[in-house]
Amino acid sequence: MKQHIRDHMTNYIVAVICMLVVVVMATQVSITFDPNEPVRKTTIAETSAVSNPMMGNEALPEASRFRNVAETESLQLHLDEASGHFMVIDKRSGNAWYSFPHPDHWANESTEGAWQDHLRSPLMIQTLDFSNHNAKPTIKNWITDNGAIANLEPIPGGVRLDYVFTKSAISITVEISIDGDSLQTKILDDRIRESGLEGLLWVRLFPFLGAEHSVGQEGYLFIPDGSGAIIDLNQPVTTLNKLYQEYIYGQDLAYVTDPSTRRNISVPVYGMKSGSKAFLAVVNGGSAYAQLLASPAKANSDYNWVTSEMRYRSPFRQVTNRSLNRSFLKYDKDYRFASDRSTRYYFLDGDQASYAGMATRYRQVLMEEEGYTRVMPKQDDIPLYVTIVGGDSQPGTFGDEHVPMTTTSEAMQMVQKLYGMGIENMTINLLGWQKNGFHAFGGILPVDRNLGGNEGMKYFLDFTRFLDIPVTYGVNYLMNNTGAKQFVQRHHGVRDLSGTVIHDPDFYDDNGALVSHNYIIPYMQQDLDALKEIGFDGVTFGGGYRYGSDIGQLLVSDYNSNYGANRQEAIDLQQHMLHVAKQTFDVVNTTNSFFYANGYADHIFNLQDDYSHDLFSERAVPFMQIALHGLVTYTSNYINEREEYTTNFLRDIEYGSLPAFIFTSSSNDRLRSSRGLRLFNSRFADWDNEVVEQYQKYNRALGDVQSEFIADHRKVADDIFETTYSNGKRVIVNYSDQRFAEGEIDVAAQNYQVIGGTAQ
Amino acid sequence: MKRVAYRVLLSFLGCLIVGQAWVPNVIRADAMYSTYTKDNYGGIVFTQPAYIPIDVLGKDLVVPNAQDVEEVVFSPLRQPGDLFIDDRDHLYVADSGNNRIVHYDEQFHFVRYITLEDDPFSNPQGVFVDGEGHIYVADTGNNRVVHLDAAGHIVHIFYKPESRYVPEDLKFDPTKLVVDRRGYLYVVTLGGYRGMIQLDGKGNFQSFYGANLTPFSVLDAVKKMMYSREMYSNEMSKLPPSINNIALDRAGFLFTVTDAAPDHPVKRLDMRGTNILPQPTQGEYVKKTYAEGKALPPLLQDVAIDRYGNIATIDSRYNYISHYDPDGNLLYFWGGRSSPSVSQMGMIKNPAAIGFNSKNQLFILDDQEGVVQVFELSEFGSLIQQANQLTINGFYEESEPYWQQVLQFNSRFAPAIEGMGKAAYKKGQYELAVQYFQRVGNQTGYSDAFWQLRLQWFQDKFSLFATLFVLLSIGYLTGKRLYRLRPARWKRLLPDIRLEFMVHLKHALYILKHPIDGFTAIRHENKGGLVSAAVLLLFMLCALLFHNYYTSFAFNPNKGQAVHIADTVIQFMSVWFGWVVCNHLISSIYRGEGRFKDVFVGSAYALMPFILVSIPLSIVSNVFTLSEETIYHYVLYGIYTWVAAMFFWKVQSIQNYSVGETILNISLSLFSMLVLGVLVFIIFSLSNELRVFVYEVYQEVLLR
Repeated sequence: MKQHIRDHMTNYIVAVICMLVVVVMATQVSITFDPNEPVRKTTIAETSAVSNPMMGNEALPEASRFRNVAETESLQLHLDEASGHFMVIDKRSGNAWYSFPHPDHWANESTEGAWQDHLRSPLMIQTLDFSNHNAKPTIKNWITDNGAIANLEPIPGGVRLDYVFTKSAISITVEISIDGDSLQTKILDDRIRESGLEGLLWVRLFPFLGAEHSVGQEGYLFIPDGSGAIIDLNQPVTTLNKLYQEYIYGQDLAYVTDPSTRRNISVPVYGMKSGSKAFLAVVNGGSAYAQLLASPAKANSDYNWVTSEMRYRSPFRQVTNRSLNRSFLKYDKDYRFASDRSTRYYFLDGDQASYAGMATRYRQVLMEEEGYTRVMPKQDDIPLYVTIVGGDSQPGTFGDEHVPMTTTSEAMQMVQKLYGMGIENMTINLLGWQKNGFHAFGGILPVDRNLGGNEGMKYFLDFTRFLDIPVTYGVNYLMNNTGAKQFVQRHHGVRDLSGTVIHDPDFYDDNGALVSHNYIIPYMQQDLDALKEIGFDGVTFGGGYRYGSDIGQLLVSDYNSNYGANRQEAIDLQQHMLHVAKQTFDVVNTTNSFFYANGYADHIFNLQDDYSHDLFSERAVPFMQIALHGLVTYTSNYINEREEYTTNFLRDIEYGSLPAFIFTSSSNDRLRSSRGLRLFNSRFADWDNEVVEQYQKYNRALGDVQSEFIADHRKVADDIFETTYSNGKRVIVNYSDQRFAEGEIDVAAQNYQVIGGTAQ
Repeated sequence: MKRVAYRVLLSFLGCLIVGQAWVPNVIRADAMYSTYTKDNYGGIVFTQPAYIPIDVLGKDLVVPNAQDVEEVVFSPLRQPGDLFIDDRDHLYVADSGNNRIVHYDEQFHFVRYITLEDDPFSNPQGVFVDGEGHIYVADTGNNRVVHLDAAGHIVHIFYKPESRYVPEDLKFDPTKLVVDRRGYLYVVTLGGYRGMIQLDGKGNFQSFYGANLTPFSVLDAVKKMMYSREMYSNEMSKLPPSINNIALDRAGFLFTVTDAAPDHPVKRLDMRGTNILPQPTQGEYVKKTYAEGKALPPLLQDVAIDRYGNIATIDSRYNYISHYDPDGNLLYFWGGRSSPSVSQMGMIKNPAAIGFNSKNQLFILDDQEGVVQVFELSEFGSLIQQANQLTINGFYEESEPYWQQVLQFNSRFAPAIEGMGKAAYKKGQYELAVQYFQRVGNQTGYSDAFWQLRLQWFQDKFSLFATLFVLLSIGYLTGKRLYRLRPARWKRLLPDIRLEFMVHLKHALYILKHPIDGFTAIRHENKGGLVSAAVLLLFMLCALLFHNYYTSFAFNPNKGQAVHIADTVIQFMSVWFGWVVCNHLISSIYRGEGRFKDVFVGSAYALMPFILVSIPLSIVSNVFTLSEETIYHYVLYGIYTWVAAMFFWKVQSIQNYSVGETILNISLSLFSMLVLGVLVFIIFSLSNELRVFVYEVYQEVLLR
């Protein structure tokens, strides 16, 4: 052998050299060859020679410089090529919308320095110098960065242009276009250029579109905080005004963010009303990476503004020592959140210029673009949603012990009793019936044998089918702490960029690791088939309970190398899972889900009906409810889990939420140290009379408007609110402890009144 | 496996594994904060909010612009120190950073700033208003207390009192004060460890009042014993903790708050300045934080008493507001940390002072945010108030429907269960009362109700007992004559004991009667075997578990609580085995004659008294109440003493020691057990450090 090698030494050497040459060639080619590279007309280097026309002065773009670039039946788009700003004229009302702060108020603006340029600039960005280890993120604007416009070209309905930040060597391509009654702005992801040392962290595109001073006009900023909240433009200015800043669809657990005690944003919308005009903005592209910002006047300028901030990189925790909890924050230079970012603005005026009008316009978007359809009520009477809890495990003498709270036969008696009391339209949801109960996440079937097992469940389902009562099974496909489905955290868990397995914050103590979507999807179909086999009518993602987030409720970037998916892809995967469930079952319910999931839902449990009580917020508004009523049914908190019994009842009536109870057969005392179930009082025997009473009250208010839209919602006086349905029925709710009478309205203290409708 | 190792480790250190209540990391609820209560087992119970936020004051304060009278400029509260609500429900805030007092009326409308033109306040930390509207300001920066009339004119200024009882070095930095009905001032001074300074209306010194006790620990006692006088005085000075804050209730009682007093941070003082509050109200929290291995106690800042005498405290460490009834029993607590970048209604960043008005609305001063948050009782909260009011005043039966309603809303609300128990007891439904009291963990109530139940049972069955007694007596007398039971016959009934193992086991009984002989026989006559020792140990564990799980609730507050079986077993076994090893090691270097086997067997045999007596005792305890506590404890301590004596004789006989040698040997064995414990701990933690170090190096190589 050795002899052989020695003989042919030269041959071998030549061969190796040839192979090396080929490899080098190949790598060379792959470096220079990029089929996606568009033909560039102007490069950043070429534009830097020109000085920005807005630099060194304090003026907003002049009206005379704008030229008409596109027109539809209702809108005109005008562009100023020098400043990069645009103006939209609403031909229906004559209103003008500016992509910069309202020029009429500019003379009174007291802000100076950096913020003055921020206000005048079409884009604000934050960048980080990746060549310097100690560099801090810096906020820049297009003006002071000696911005330039390049490659301006027309597209259908508008223009496409590059905003070049010449100092930072960053170029962002934006499309501005109008279509029907809406305007769309879009950042094209594949044309972002970071040619220098700096990387993009976030972009605010036209952040001051529609921004106005508080000059006594009636108006507010609308934020989708909880069910929706409004920030009054004319609130007494206070020293505590701070920014509203939250992620759409909640924080990404894979990245580090300031802890927030606010509610999640479930809807990618925001808006503003000023006088008789309003706009609604829908973040319809890249919403997974968007943060919403609302700034009341005096927070950092005299303008009230609301916008979205498109993130391109976020800090993650690079762990250096897991057991000692040592880590540092890091941005990944090479990984930029990829996806086009677009926002569509709808311009409203007159009667439509209100949060109800915004919600109505959004409902139209949902029906036209997202495929939402009207609900078909089963009966004239409203359905009662009953969640029956099977059981849970708690620490016992010999380790964890399963505590049965309701068995299948007890559940049968429960349903029988409710049916006997006249509640014939009922939907049952089962929570915590899997082996070892509620907080045993991962396994779906079998039904725990203490509760009757699969066999007992079949009897129960035969019984409910006979009464025509649909039964859904509470599932969770996001958490696993049992190792069911061969789940191993290290291999199949959701991980962040430094490899840390991510846990549900609610169940961290209990090792509730999140499962990669791609891992669980194949198992899900098996589960669904098995559930169908037993006889269930549907599934409830998230179980219908507020602890234990499921798909549609929690959106996390997953960097698992085998099963990972980024946050935007995670939306698609979650939608895919819901779609699969929808194909198997008639009924698919979700729990407090985000709007990308709601389109697949027949019913939403625990829909948020309150705001975060920020001091700058005026009050909660039922934006989500107005958009959803008539398209999807929803319930708020369970009646026997209400925090304020009367107030929450009235809010349900005001918001059109259906009644729901959560029941067990046994007393909650038996589950003293449950790890996740924290029920106030769920014993059916304590509530059986109250159920009927509450049901009748709800039915009177909501019975004949099940498939109707909420046409309007307004505040009549302090503590008095009126909801109007599309069939003309009006429901007036009085939260105060005094009777309220005005015109047709006469409503007793802490009560409600129905005007119109068929129930009279 | 790791889990077991962890348990062993803890057990070796003699630490009790206390079941930690499971708590969430993220709270999602309708109110932006969560409300809880605790049962007597220490378990956290989630409840509906008792207080809901209704208003925020102090965010829109303005003052006229100095240049332009037309214009106003913002003048937010700056590090406000105190708030006070007077009899008319007017609110006064000591705006320390702005050197003024801010006055609001009962509708929460701004009334005026109280300032002094010529001689301005300097950092006023406290304010008090009496029944006539006279305002007293603790003008901390000027070392004085200013007394103003309702219109804001100076009536009197109190400086450091002159008296031979007032030491020269007394610093007079008044921070908080109250004025009683006689017009006497009680002034809290910065670092005033002597207590409050009591002054009469003219400023004459009366006394120091309500001083705390100097904390004195075992370590201090040891130091005092061993150190010389000079060394001891070089130690950190031992002074009583100084009072943080004071409050006056409607009955005229003075309350003090001291955050550094670990036992009684809140005191209700009588005339002589001693505490008369029965329960320590220490401030509640859901999850402890630790610093240097020590759990950090809440830092109570202020106390307020509502019109019914209920007590509310605020804590600046965990940010919880805790509510207690007038006896100091916990009603509920709520709050929690607030996000630093968000200002939300009801969320408090750093509570500085708390107060109630006559409508039971609650005012909390947040000195970081510079606002006063106003709360009122929720539907649930007012229900609890009504019910508890009746219970406190002894109307147990009348309170029942209210408590019933509270339980309808929240079946685990501990004060309601307790209230129901009291009502049931009053109505003579003792069986129900027993259930309620055991549910909530009230041992005294349980025992009292059980006593009644037992009496009733006894009375009901009296005729039966009497008949039974007569019948048995007759039966015994006649039976004795008919058939004489001789011990020899019984013996014949038992199996023939030839097995060595059975002989060994029987020897355990012999040892009870003749301990010295018995243990010597183990050493020299092979009367004990490893198998029988293991069996005895097994019996011991059974007895221990039986004792832990089946002793009456009256003596065993943990009954019904889930204690993992492994906790008990591992704890006992590690201590016992530690003893065997250490005792053998010490004995073998101290001329002991026993072999390891003898120590092992002897230590097992010495447990015999516990095995025999504890099970019957546990059974009997179930018919005992706290009135028979003496009997129960007499027997229990008797067992312990007996076991201890057995161990003593074991060492003495097996090792062939004199009494003195035995004492020395036992002391050394115990000491070496301690050393062993520390050693095990060190080995565990060091090897873990090593593992982490290696891993870190690996990570470093991988990442860089």
